[in-house]
Amino acid sequence: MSMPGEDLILRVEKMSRHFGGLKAVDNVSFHVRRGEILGLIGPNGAGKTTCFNVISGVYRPTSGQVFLDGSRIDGLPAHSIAARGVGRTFQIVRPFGGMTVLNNVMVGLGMPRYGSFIKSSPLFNNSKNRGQAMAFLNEVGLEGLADSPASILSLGNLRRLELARALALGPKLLLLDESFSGLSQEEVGRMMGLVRKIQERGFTILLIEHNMRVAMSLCERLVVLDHGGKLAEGTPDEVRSDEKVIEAYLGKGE
Amino acid sequence: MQLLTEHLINGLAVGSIYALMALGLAMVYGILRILHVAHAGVYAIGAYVGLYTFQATDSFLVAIAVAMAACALVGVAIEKLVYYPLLKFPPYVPLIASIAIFLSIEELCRIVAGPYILGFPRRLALDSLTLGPVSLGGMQILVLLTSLVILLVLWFISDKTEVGLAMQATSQDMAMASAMGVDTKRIISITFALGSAVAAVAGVLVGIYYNQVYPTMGAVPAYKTLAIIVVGGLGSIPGAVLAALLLGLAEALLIGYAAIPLPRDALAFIAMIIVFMIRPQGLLGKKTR
Repeated sequence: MSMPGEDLILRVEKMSRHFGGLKAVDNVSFHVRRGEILGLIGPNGAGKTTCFNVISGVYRPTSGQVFLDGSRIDGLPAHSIAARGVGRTFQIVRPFGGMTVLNNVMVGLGMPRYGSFIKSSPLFNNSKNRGQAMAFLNEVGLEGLADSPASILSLGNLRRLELARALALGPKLLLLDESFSGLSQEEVGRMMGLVRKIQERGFTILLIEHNMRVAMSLCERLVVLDHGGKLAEGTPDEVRSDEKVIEAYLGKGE
Repeated sequence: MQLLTEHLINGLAVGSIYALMALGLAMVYGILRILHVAHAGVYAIGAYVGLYTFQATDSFLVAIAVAMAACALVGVAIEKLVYYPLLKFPPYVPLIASIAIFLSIEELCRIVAGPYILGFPRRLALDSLTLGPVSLGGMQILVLLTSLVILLVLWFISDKTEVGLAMQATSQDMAMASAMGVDTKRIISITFALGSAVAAVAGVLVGIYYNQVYPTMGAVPAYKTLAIIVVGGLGSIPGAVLAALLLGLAEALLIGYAAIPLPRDALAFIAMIIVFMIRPQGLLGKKTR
């Protein structure tokens, strides 16, 4: 039993993000423990992706704080949050289509040096980078496609590529935004295996998932958002039997 | 036959200067989706700085280096002070700003240097080289060699180095590049610095080649290079280089050699119109979805 505040990779405290009058995220607090898979679920428009965007630095929070491994990261630019150890994937896959699969992964490897023109002037395609990038591709099972242009990959493979790119940052925390959506039943199964394997390697994962079956079986804990606010939090069993959650998903009984 | 080869070489020299100018424009368009008309102003500044440095030092290499450094600073200043703050507006806003900067630079050159045509000192007369029946002027050798070196260096940086990979990533998807740890603001500045330094080289070379440096020297190139990057395929750097070389050759052959009664500068726009009609994505551009 861990003490409160102990070994938390991510701490989100009273975070809000408003767009004009719209409270996309409102006063939400939760935390992610080292090594766990935490699921962020909720109906459409609940504010899940906005949460990701604030944590990863696309937006500043309107109020509230975000701590990564004890140090405050909210309001930092996206690239320095990535450099501090937050790797993310996007709901709509976004490969660098003009590059090979391997080079897509290599972009993440140069991250510690991009601040300086001089430091980032070495050749990127050296044997060290190549070896590292290939290892990440191996991990997600894309080693056979390393030299193909990323634009020809199937959706399932693109989702794997996004995972490999995020891993290349050596992240303390992985944010997966609906990595299962649009995949066939069989691909969903393989992707779940992959996510579990990554967790076993010691990564901490925060994921957004629409597919309840996937979320319930992968995640140790779930945070449920609705209309920008936190509705419930707990183990899958606790969440499943929570009245408010059932109401938000199924509507109020007459 | 000999006349034809001379026109060909001249066309290649002019085309490679166009290529140097269009490169910066294509790089800026690729990364910010802005039509950087003021790039031609940067090129004029490069010509002036190069000329004054050459008068002071009598060295071509020093003149090029100082002009490149000065233009890199000007380019980054334009990006940081004008374009970056305007990125959140629709693309015509930075375009209008760009035209305003261009006109201001022309006026600034007029105020500082006077409305005259200045020439490079004759001291730069270079030996010519004769290869069989073909005679290459010293100027042409200088222009061709310098352009070739610059093009190779730029290709190497953008295709082989880590900073080049970051530039590719930023121009393909800026938000994604940030999520991968790329400091995109920095990469944008580096892109402007490189593109503007290359424009400076073009400015100095034109100044030497035609022996003319004057405040409005950027006016025709401003619009001609826009036509070039459209013909090459907006945002495509190899496309811009190819279109520039083809234009230089076409001008030399059709107007110079074949003496077709058209204004030389009209050719670029005729090519642009034809491209719009039959291949809107440009020579090497990708079809947009």
